[in-house]
Amino acid sequence: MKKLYRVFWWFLYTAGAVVVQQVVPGVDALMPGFLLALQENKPRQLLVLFLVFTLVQEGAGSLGFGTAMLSYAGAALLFRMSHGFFVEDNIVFISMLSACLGLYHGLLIRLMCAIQTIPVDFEQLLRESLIQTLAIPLIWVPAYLSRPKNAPATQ
Amino acid sequence: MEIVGYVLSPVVWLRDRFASWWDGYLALVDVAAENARLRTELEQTRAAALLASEDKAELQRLRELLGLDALRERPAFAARVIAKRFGPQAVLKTFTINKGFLNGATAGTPVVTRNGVVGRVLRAAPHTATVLMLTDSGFRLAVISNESRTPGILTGSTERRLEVAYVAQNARIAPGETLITSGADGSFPKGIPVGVVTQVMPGNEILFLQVHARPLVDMDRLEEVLLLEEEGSAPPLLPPETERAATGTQVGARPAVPERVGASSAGVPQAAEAASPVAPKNRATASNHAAPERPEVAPHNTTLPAQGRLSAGPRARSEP
Repeated sequence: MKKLYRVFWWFLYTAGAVVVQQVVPGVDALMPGFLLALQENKPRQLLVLFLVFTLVQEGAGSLGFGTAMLSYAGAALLFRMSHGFFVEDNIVFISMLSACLGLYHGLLIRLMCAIQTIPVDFEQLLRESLIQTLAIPLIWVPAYLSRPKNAPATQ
Repeated sequence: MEIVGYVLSPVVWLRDRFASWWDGYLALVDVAAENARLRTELEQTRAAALLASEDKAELQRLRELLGLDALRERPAFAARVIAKRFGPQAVLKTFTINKGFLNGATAGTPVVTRNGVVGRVLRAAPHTATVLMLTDSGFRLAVISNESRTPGILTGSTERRLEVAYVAQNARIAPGETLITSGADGSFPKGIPVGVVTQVMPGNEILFLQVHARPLVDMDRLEEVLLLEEEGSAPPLLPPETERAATGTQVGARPAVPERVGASSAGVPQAAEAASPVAPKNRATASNHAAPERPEVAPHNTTLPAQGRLSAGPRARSEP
């Protein structure tokens, strides 16, 4: 029953994130959920979410295949590199990670656009990177608090 | 893309229900005054329509005298905008609509509104599609100005304006002229309004004029669009829900088009201008990004398009 509830929670989260992405263009509202899955450290759940989130973003995006995969793989790498130094479920850690992810998002999009010879609107890219940086903790906090069997952030 | 469509369609539906309820019950303030104003406007519009019908008849007669082909009517079907620039990878200026290749929206399909050109379908899933907007820097469209008949290639830009390339230095194009599709690219029919020229400057180091324009369609407020079918194109695989329910037809067994409306009602101007000086075989106007992918699904009961279309453009590639 708990497992079913967890699956249902992820379904609700994904649907909510899709709606957020409709309202705020350019933002990745699935990323906080992916960070949450990284914190829970359940390999099968992480793999399924990685595949689902990647497919959603790749399918809806206008860049060539691979950008979303690189984005989530980069997030996982950043998380693994830094989680040893900080408390994982700390909002400060998530804020610092989201700043890195915002920067990574801008660099990744710039790189992929250069590869695909697509002109980039730098002002828009910068704005969306900043929005991404702010959006991750804002979405992560309610998601973390509502996640089954999780206590609120300690610090 | 299909998953996104399934999630967003109910959200859009709920939003519409709420807006309808709000408009119908709560926002009835000043209805009487508005009604009186609308009645006055209706009278004025009727008078204008009478004059326009005279002009239309005259135009038809002149066309026949000159031997010009009248603008062929293009069937169109409506689609709903369900998301704009969805997700972190929406680098291109795109939006998502609730019609896919099963409904007839294939890559390269022209997308318009009653005010003018919006863009063309970039790629299509079964029930949703992504439309590349006119303002994207990768968009290309053959246009001609409606007064001086100056041809050019319209492109979007990273800034909020359109640019018209390859306009000769001695062209008489002037600010305020309306740009219309020239029909030279083989996908958009001739005569659809695209934008208004805002600035004309001499090219300093190039052989062409620098022409800037603004789109006629407000891209920020798009809610519904019309997709123009290609002549001789295969019919969609799926009829609309209402028609399926009414006729009991099966998937893939329908030769008609969903929510079809005539080109005249789609805002495509009946008043095609004089013959374009643009070479009709000019295929260099296809979008850089248009049709990078084509759905591989081929209907069993569809017919081949006209022979000339098979090698003409990106639309032909997915035909059986």
